Amino acid sequence: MGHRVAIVGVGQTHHRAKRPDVNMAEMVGEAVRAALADAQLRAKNVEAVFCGNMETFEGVYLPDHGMADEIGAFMRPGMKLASAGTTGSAVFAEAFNFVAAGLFRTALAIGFQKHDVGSAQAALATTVTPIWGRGASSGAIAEFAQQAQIYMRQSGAKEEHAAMVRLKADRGACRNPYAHLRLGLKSVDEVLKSGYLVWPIRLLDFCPQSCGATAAVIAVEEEAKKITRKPVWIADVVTVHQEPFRASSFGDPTGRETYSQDVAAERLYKRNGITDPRKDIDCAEVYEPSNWEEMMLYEHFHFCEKHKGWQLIEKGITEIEGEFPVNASGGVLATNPIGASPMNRIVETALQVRGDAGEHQVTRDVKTAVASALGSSNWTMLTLLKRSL
Amino acid sequence: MTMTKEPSQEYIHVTIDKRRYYRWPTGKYIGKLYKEAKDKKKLVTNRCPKCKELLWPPQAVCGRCKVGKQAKIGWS
Repeated sequence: MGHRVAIVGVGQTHHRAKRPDVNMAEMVGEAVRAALADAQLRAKNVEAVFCGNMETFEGVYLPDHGMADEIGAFMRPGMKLASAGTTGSAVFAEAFNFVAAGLFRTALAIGFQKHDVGSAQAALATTVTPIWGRGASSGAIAEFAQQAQIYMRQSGAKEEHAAMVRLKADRGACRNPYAHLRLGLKSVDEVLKSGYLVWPIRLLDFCPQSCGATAAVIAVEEEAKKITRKPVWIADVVTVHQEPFRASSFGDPTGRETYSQDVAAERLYKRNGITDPRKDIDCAEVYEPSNWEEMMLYEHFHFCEKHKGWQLIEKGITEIEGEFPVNASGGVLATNPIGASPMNRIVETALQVRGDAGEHQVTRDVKTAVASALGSSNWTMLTLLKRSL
Repeated sequence: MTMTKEPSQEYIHVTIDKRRYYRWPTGKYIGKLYKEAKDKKKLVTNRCPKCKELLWPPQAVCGRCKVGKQAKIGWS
């Protein structure tokens, strides 16, 4: 085992569909300053800077060009990382690994995406490898629609249940000042009135494209205890790889594929002595680009039995006040700056562990929390955070 | 942190009207799949020599078994 490492400061921007008031570096700078202020540190106190963003979604390669000064990376060690949906958690894990290995005492991890300057769907659908992926890639919505169709058939979930997931996300988002979509939805019918994008995915069943950045300052035990009275310990990080365009993740009609979500959850639970996730973990932030994905993730992560995910939503178990709160922040459904979305999951769980989530602080006392991410070549990443190790 | 208010600046619009060209080798395995499909109108792929599972798309290594191309390729 390496050094013990804790999150000592977190910051995020107010997420919006459009940010014409700032350029990319200025937007990222907002999150970096917020995280440093939260840790009561100056940029010079951070030894390394790790930056994550999904390339080409802004229509350019290396969108981090011209950002080194703003994020405090000038003449500092660090790296830039891109792994699509998992970027935010992968860059966090990268910073964590370096600090845990003892190479740096403190590090800054940043995730960002500025969706208003390019077209993520165009990048997803047209810049895949032309030999194999091209024919299989239809952009995110169609893939999640296919997954939802298979889930409906296998589990008996109805469109009403998907609508309930949006209502839950919206209730959380309305209490989260940083969230993007805060719609004030009142009923299932309101969600069911929104039009289909690709059946059964409706406009309100899917995540938005947000502009935003998120940053976290992490430190080794000795430093962490000096910096803050409320360190959030990083207990474990799990990464599991798959291949893209295989049946898993987006539904498996054959029943023969291996889900990276299942393997990641089993590995995390085994390594950390978690036998009953609903008892041993107090809250979760999962990466759910669609309403349907959230219900499926409940099952993959053993929050309930197979094909029972929709029942958790129906019974209100995963509400902010519920027995096992999931995505109290509103989740990806409300806020989706892709390169930052998984780090938002980690940062939001860290706030829950600290008890600093404000209006969307869950009722249950959070000592242990888990954050998930999905992306790239069907990777699943899980981050386990604890109040004390 | 700066609170964001109403948009106070304009976007600069740039259109790049340039076609994107790809020239990629298909590789030995997917290349064979494409050739068979084109010439004989047949879909072919290979099996893992260890677990006997059909690999799709055809490829040198079975990810599960980590068995590589040194084993004889069985096309089906």
